[in-house]
Amino acid sequence: MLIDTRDLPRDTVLEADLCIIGGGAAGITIARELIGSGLDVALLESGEWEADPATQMLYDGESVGEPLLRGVQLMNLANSRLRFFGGTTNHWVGWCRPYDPIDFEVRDYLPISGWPISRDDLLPFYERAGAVIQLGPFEFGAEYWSNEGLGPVLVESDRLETGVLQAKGTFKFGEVYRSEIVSAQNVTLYTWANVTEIVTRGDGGGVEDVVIKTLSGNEVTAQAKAFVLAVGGIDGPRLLLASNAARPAGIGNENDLVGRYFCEHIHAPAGVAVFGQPTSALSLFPGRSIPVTGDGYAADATITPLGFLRPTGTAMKAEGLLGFDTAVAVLDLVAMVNQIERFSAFEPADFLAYTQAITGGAGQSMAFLSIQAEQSLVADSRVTLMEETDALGVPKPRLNWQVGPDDRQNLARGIDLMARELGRQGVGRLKPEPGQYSTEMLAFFGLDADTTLPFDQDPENYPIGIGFHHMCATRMDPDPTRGVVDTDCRIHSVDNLYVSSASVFPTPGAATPTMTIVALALRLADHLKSRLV
Amino acid sequence: MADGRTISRRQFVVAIAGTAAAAAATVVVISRNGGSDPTAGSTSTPPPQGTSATIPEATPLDGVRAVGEVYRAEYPEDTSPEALAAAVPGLSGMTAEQAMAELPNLDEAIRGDFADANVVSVDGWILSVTEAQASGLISTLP
Repeated sequence: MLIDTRDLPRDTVLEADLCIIGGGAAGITIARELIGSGLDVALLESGEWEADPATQMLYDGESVGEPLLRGVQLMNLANSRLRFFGGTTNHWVGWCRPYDPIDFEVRDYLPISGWPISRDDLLPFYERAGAVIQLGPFEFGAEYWSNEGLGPVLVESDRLETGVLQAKGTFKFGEVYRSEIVSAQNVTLYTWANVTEIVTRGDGGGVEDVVIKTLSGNEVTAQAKAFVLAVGGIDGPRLLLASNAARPAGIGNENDLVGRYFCEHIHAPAGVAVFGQPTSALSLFPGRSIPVTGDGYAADATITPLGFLRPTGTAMKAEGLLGFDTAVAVLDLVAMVNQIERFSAFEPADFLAYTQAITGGAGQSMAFLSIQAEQSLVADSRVTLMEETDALGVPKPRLNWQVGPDDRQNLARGIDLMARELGRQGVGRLKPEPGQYSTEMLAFFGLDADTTLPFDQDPENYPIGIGFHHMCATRMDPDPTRGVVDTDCRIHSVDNLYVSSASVFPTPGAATPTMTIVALALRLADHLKSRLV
Repeated sequence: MADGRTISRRQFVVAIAGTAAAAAATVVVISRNGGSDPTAGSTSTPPPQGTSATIPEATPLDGVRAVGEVYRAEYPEDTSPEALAAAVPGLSGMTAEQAMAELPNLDEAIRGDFADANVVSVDGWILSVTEAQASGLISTLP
């Protein structure tokens, strides 16, 4: 069922068994899982089917933390998320992979690391998430895809390995699942429904209702047995902090943890690599679309597997490294020559010939390497509230994103590991250039191709970027003094309020987060079914 | 998306992923349950080919000499002909062509250098000390 909240009589009380706040990947996934469950589900969506500028501005806030690209850019909160049905998947390209076992483990060199659930615990939900996102087989190792004909594995050692991402392609949850949600008998999708306050009972127990406002001036409330906050990694903490009528510090904030440990993925160029093999030996890295068949797939469905390089868990532990995924952008001949001329004193032909000679390889090829890295947990990296409010009277968020004191050094050490391992395996040679962005990356940040970023080889001066992945600001931990939500993703101090977003990740890992968001949403849906049905 | 401009995630990921659409050879039909369909045909887009044939100017010796010369220029205190001959004794007294033929015999030492982090930066490229010394020496040989 579909209801435009603007058309409801003022002060209407919506009643449901479960109220899901946010119609993005997490909210839609939970709602779908509960179709036919017998539960009445209210799914509250701030927007409708397309981006609306006024609604989008409800995300607006202030960024006062780590400047991007050494101050060339600042993080823009108003457009780092999309606020209409499907959420940020509306501009998501779809790259997915599960987190690695080491991401769930306690690492003594990464304070407060360790998830309270293991990769094995999450594995069945990852497999189900693959179906939700319409990926191919649950295979993320290079050997499998190499055997399927996608090209040889470039490097596979005890220190550096080739992983594989999968993408369905552009996969907008709102478009794919709109019909299913709207036609479901027990799910009601409310559009233009902005939750402005979560109201807890006077006894400090559970949520009583939520206040919903529209930009047109309407106001209603929703009551339910349980609520799920699925609005993303900045707006979730913001709403918890702003809902402070009964709890002055905000909901779930008894230990001053809501909004803290906010993490992003650190992006940085790694440099250029020259290989002693022809470009055809790198065909796993460009990736290519391949047809996929199975239940629920369109006749012309395809997926794209895409290789990347990553340190092994063994190497990470041995060297005290945080995770990093390295994209390998294989260059064509013209780009290859241009890049060597740009980055090296050598004549392009000379260095290509050199690498082939020294590695004894069968050809010459080159790639631009870009890193997406894990960051460490910083308590002062946090979401707080501004005094200024948005158009609906909710305090705007202030984001003070901080990276750890060693996080830039971690980038340098990771790049060094790749350089050494490509050499040890006789694969190629690497020139670290962690500040030299490709023209495509500059364009992504809205910069001209000839932009020169302030950069030197000192890791402390790397002009880092971000992945627009908002994580860890309501961390999962069974100990309420260490985390905001418990292992069921329920806020410790509220018996009927759950969080479903990357905000519950205890550590950010290096992988793209959406598959894990969906896996955790599926796990939460199972929990809610067992609790509410 | 950054700074209010409408650059899509797709543009970004394509940018960092490189020429994603460029390589395609044999189509493999994948089932979600695994396995492939060997009856699938082939696409019309060939994979990028090796480029050695299209950059005709440099021979392997050209490349090694170029690297060796830069190494010597960057580390003059370590790269006198005597020091290089002592560092890579197996190549001393040879012509450059003869030394090039011996390079494969250094492969184990070169890999060992990388394993032991016995590396040197030459024009910013991370090379093993052994390969840099060998290149330096070859660049002095007739």
